[in-house]
Amino acid sequence: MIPDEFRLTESGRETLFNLLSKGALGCLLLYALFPIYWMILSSFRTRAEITAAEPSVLPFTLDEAADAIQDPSVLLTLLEYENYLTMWDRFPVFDYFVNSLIIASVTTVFALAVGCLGGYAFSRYRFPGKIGVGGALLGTQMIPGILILLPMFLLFVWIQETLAIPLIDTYHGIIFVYTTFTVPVAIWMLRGFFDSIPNAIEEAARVDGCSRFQALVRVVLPMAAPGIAATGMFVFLTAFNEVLFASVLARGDVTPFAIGIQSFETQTTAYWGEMMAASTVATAPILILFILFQKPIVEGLTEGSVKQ
Amino acid sequence: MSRVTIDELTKVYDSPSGSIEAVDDLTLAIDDGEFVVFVGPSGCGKSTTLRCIAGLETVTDGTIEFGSEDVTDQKPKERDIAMVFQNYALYPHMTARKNMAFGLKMSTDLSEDEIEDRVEETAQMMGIEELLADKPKALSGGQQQRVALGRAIVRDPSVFLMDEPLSNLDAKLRAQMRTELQQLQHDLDVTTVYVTHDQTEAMTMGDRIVVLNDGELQQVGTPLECYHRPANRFVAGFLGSPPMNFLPVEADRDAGELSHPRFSLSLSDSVVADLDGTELVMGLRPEHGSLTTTPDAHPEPDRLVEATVTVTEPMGDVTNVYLDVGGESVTVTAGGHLGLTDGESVWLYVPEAKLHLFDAETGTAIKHSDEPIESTRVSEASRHAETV
Repeated sequence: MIPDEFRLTESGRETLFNLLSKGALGCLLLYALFPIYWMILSSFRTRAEITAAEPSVLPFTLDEAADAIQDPSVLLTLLEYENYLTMWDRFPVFDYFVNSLIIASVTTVFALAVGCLGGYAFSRYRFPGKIGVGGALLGTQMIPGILILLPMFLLFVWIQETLAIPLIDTYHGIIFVYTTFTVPVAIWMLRGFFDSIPNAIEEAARVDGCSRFQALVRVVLPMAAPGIAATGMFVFLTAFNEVLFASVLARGDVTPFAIGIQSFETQTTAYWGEMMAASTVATAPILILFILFQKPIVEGLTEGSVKQ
Repeated sequence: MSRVTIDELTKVYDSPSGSIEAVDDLTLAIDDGEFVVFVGPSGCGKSTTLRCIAGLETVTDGTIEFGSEDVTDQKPKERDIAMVFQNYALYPHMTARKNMAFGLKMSTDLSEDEIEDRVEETAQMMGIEELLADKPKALSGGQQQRVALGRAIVRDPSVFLMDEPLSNLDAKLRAQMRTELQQLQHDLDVTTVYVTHDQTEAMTMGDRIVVLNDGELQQVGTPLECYHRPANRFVAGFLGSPPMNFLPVEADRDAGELSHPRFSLSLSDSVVADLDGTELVMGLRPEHGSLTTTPDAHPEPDRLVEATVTVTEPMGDVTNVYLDVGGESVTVTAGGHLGLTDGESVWLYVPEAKLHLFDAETGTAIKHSDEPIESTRVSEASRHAETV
C-alpha cells in the first residue's frame, strides 16, 4: 500500500500522464527527424568532418557558437556550402532529379486516372465478381516486389524481342511498372473517398441534366479533391522513392534520383558531403509540395474513413 | 407542367437473399398542376416510386408517362424534372448561386446572363439573395433547404419531385416551410409529387394523398376522404394522431348488435344490412368518443362502454385520455380539462354515426363515419383537417 501522502491527486496524475506522453512523442519525433537533421548537417560539412572518428552532433563548436552570438555574420563563414556547388559537376544530379520528376508525375497522372474510374466503379456499382476483383487487387499488394522483379524483367525482354517495343531503360517502361503497382492502392483509397460522398448529390446532378460521367467529373471528383490529392501524393512518393525496380529497369538516360544518388559512392571514394547536399536539394521540392497541399491531404486522410 | 400517368408500375430489387418487391403494380394518374403526397411507413415503396418517376431507378414492369410521352426508359436528364432531396444534396464545392445555376447550365441553351437573371429572380422569390455568394457549409439547415428548393424552382420543370424535403428541419421551421411550400406550389402551378412519412404533412399539404404500404397502393383520395372514409384498416390507423382506436368485435346480425366481452352496442338496421361476416374490428377516432362519469344521466345509456382511466395527457386545448377497456387501450381526445384521475371509472360514449367497421381478416372497410368530406378545392379542407 502506498501511504496517502505519496498518492497523486487527480490533477497530479493528469500532469504526470501529460509529461510521459509528451516525452514519448518527443523521442519518436527525434527518431524520425534525426536522419534528416544529419543529412542537412553533413551536406554542410567537409569530408574530413564527416569521416572524423567522432563527428560532432552539433553544427558548431561552443567557441564558434559564442562568436556567432557576438556577430551573426560569422555564421556564413562557418557554413561549408562547397558541396552544393561541386555536386552538379561531379554527376548529372539535375538529370536524375528531372527523370524522377517525370517518372513520378506521369505515374501519378495514370494511377489517378485509372484509380478514380476504378474506385468510383467499386464504390457505386454492383457487378459480378466485385468482391473477387477487389480482393485480387488488394492481394497484389501482399506480394513482395522482389518476387516480381525477375519475371517482370523477363517479360520486358520478351516484349522487346518479339514486339520490338523497347521497355527496359525507358520512361514508359518504368512508368508502366509503377502504375501497375500503385493503381490497386489508388483504387482502394479513392473508393473510400467516393463512399463518403452521398449518392443523393450525384443524383441531384443527374436530375440537373448531367450524364453519369458528367456527374462524376463535375460533382463527384471536385468533392473528392482532398482524397485525390492524398492519393496522388502517396503515388508520387511511392514512385519517387522506389529503388528496387528502378535499379534494374531504369538505368542509363532515365536513371532516377534514387538510383543516381548511389553514383556518389564510387569504387575509390564516397562523396558523402555532395551526396547529402544532393539529397537535401531533392527533398526540398517534395517538402514544399507537401506543405502546400498539407491541408487537403490531412483532410483527405481523415475524411475517407469518416461517414458523413 | 404535365400530367403524370403511372401504369402498373412494379419495381423488384434483386438481392443475394432473394428479390424484394418494393412497388407492386401501382396505377395512378396525377393531374396537371396537382400536388400529390405519397405517404406511408418506411419501406412502403413511396421513395422508390418517386425515384422511378425521376428516372433514378429502372422500372421492372409498367410504364410512366409525362403528358402523352412515355418516359419509362428515359434518363433523368431527359425528363424535365426537378427534385428536392431529404438531405438537400447541394453541391458543397459550389456557391448557392452556382448550385442554382448548375441545372440551367447543364440542361438548357440559356446564355450566362439569362441564367444569372433567372437565378436572381428565383433567389428573390425565396428570400435568399443575401446567401447567393455563400457555400452550403456556411448556411444553416433552413437556408440550405431554401437553396435546394430554389435550385429546383429555377429550373421551371414540368414536374417537381420532393423526397421528404422537410424532415431534417426542426419542428417550428418545418411547420413554416409546410405552409410556404403549399403557397409556392399553388403559385407555380407545377405538378408536384411529394413523399413523406409524416401524416401531418400528408394531411395538410396535398390536393390528394396516396397511401402506400408494403409496396401496394392502399388508397388515393383527398386528405379528408382518406381520413374519414379510409379504404381499409391500415389507412385508418396510419392517418390521425393519436391514431384510431381498434377493438375486435363480433357481429350478431339477428340481435342487430356488436358484441365484445365487455360490452355490446346495438346497430341500426341499415348498418346491419351491410354487414358481411361476423369477425369485425370496430374503429373509433379519439376525437369522436366522449366521456361521462354519470351514465344514468346520459341520453343513450345503451351506447356507453365502461372503462378505467389509465393516463391523462392535458395538452391545453384538449386532453388525451387513455382508457382501459377489458385489457385493451382506447384513447379519447376530450376538450379542455376534465379533472379525471388515474384509475377512475368512466363511461365512453360510442356514437354509431362515427363508428368505423372493418373486416377482421382482410381489413377492408365495411362502414365509415358520417363526417362530411368536401370535394371542393382541398386547400380549405386541409386547413380544416389541421385543426382536427
